[in-house]
Amino acid sequence: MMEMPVSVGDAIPGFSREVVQSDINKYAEASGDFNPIHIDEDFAGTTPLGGTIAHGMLVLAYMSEMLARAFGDAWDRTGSFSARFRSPARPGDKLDVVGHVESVKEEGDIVVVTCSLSCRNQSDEVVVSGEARVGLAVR
Amino acid sequence: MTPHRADGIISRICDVRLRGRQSFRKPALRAKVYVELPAGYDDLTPGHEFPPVEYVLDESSISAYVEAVGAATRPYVPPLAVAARAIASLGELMEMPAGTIHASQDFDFSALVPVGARVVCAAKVLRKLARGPMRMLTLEMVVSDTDGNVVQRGRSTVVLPEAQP
Repeated sequence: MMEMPVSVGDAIPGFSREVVQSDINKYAEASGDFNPIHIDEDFAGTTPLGGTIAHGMLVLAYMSEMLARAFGDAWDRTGSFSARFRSPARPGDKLDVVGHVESVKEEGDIVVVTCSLSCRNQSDEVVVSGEARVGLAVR
Repeated sequence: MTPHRADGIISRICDVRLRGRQSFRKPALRAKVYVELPAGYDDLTPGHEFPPVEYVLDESSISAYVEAVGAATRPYVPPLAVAARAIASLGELMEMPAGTIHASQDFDFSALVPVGARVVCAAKVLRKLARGPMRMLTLEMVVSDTDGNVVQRGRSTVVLPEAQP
């Protein structure tokens, strides 16, 4: 397992993914979210978005995966996340999720690591920005 | 809403098990919930509490989620899979117009959930905002195990497509 990023300024190993319609369709099936803005190209083409977009929760899942790889099950047990969707992720977009440790604080018998996160597309537009916190046991 | 769509929702609502108050298990009150749902944006007010919905995080649905997002395999349910099902459960209680999109999302995870676990999602309306043609809705969700232990909390804000004149 990689060493955990637990010092201010540490980079969280990034996570990249290309958005493809087939993954969006699979996510719709798996989550039960069949909003046509995600899966119906004819409908989505008539909206101001001009085409289908990935579920926001699918993009958050990519960000959560990055944190799970960095922090292991501590992320899944104790994580918190605050995210804002800034622009849509469209099929064909190449997403890069990155993060940095912003603060590290001891709170009793745990260390709380706070990270800034962003997901950008190939045009360097921010798709999602946010902040995550994870509690790690003090050794 | 088309009759076909209504039929689909009704059948799924009948399948969900409502928890939180013993009386929700009585057929008469289940029928009451049945006729009130799904609620639309105009039906909702801040503070409105939806009836809790109980569901199972079964292995097949979790496998489908893991494949869809390319998640690492875990010996428990990925927390965002729990959240995705929680949000989906809301889709059975309210109906937002096609084209509704997510504006922001917060989560707090507090426990791992084993595959196959039965959990309960309780949701309420925190905020509504209508300004000109723009309409937003903020919902709070609390997911608990069947013993009442909270496994995660979430807060979703969605933006509805502009209302047609």
